[in-house]
Amino acid sequence: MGGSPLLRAFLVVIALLALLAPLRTLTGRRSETATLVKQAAQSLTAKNKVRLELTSTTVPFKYQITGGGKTIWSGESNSTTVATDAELNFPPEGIDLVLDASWNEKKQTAVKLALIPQDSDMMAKTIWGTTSVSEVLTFQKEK
Amino acid sequence: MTIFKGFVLPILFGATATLSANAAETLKIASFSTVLTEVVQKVGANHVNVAGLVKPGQDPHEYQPTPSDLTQAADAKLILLSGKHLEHYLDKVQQATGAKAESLAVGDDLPTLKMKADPDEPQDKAEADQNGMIDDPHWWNSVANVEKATIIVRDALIKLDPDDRADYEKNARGYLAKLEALDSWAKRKVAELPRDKRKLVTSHDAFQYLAKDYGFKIYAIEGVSTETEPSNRHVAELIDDIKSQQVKAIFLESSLNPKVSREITRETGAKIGGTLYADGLGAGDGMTYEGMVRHNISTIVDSLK
Repeated sequence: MGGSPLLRAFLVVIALLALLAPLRTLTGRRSETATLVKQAAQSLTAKNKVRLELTSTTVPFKYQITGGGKTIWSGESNSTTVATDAELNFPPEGIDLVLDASWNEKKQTAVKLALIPQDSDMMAKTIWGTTSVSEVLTFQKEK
Repeated sequence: MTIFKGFVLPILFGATATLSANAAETLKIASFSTVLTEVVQKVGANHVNVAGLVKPGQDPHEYQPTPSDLTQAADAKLILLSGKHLEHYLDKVQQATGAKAESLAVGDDLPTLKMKADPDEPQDKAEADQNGMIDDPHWWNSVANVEKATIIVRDALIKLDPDDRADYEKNARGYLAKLEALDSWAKRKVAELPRDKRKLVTSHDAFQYLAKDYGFKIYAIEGVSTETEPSNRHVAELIDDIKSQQVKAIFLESSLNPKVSREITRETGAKIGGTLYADGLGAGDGMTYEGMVRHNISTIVDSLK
């Protein structure tokens, strides 16, 4: 690999320029495809941003929120209120969420699940249990 | 011989007397509903002798009592009927029994949903109110209604046989606990299906009570009765609804000819989601009430997901 350093630098620049066009085409296509996939997914799911707040009068408590057969949120809390943000399908017909919660102490306990969608008022449901609660809760935005 | 007379004979006579007393104490019940047959067997247990006259899988809309059925009904202490005008042969039963037995139309004491009467059906026409509506007789497709029916049957048994009240109450409690667990299971299973996908197209309008409990919208291929064929106009409207609502599946009914349903699937591209037990207990999964409900709910939810 002989030759002057100037010649070698020139050859490297030529090689890079030759690669520039195909690289640009490849990366451009990829980002376009990604955008299309993202748009399609958004139109299919049409999810809404919703804040979930869970309150239990007994702590610590374990909880699991399920929607559409999938776990949306689960955990264990030492404080009476926990919150998270989620993206949920919220059709005009409403949404069913399964709330399961349990605690160690045998004590009448109220568990409240509140939903605060970005585009409407807060909706909340409260259920009672002695050592656990397990119920399907229906939330519907006011028309 | 002395031993035989003094010891064995009294035992034999005693045993026979006890057996005939037990047989005499058993309440004879005739049931014209497959679901009520199960309910009264569970609540009455060994205190009742139940003749289920409408058999599992039999279409109660088309059922006609045989002379043997009427004899068994005449022999019963209590006759259980679905009510809500389902038993169009009721006058025959009353004539045959001479109104000796107590008839209990359980459904008549349950909440009623109304549905459009079929103008081509003489019985519907006779029963329709001024708005052309009749009572929907398919109350058993709501688990909550079957819970209420259990209490009605329990109270009827206690009235006829107050001595065994404790047993009837205990048996009813056990059966009610199973029904409550079944309803909870159904609610959780249905919750897997988003509410905007709860569109139920069935081969006859038998699921209004289920729809009300679990948030479905019904598109029925036929009216209330399995005896009539749907009109071309009704089928055309239904095809438009299925297409515009993007319904994924339609459901057949175990006691109905599926010809029309299959034609609709060809036109709309919706699949056949499965066969449902609409008119009470049936063969296979539907031999018990719990099996029937589990089959119907699972079939609907899994097909529409």
